[in-house]
Amino acid sequence: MRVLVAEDSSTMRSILRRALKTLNVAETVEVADGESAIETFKKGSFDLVLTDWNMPGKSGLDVVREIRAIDKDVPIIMVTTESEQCHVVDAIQSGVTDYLIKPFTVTTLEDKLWRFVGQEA
Amino acid sequence: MTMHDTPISREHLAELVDMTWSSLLGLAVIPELARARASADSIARVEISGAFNGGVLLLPTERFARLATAVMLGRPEVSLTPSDMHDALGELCNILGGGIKSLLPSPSSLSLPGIVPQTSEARELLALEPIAQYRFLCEGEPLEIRVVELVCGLSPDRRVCQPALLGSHR
Repeated sequence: MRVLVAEDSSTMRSILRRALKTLNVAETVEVADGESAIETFKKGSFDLVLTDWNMPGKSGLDVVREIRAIDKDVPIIMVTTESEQCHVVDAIQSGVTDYLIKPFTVTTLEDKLWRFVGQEA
Repeated sequence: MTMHDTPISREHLAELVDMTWSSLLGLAVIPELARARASADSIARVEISGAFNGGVLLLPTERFARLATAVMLGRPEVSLTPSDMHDALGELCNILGGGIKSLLPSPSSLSLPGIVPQTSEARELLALEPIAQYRFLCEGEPLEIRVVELVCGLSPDRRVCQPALLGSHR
């Protein structure tokens, strides 16, 4: 499995990287902003996208919209502290596949991976 | 909004801190009943804007900042840089801010988190009357969470929006 992680916090990128490694994800590509996420997605082939909402420049919502314009099927999980109903609705309307609320556990992340990508990490 | 009419109780903050500290840091916290303020070496902050305007402040000690960063990054404390600690504390504050925002009037949005060093900006932030606060101990270190409200452009006795809170220090 190849996963694109878009997250501006180096700490959260590290947490996600280690969690994905624990789950035997073969390759994780990390970017620190929305613009890089979109450019990286266009250049590569990914099985899953994990994106933060609140990033400098293009937001996670922008990332979801732009990736959805070029790929209708790739699972995109928003990893965020934004849990307000209106924000969840915005994210769903933009094409997000699911939500992972911070702080999360490895088990919760694992559940999402299995649900959308299957158990073969 | 004041401590008397805030929708955020001390119990709400205690629950959020417990959940965040246990899941992110694997560390237990002990509520601190003493009135003495934590002697923070810097302040992590995140702004909330929209139906509620204000912010969440996390007041950590240097020792806690180092410990929490080491845990979050999975690295030894001796390898940490100030930038590592700023990012980790900012993310911790961001996560708390998200939970606290869900208890406040909506819709509103979070800013990027940042660190305010112990300067005049920090003193101004600390002078704001919190609408909610929670003091606790973690690994023997005194910590404090404050929620402050900013009322822009009102009477002089209400706080105008300050660059320290609204600026980006990440």
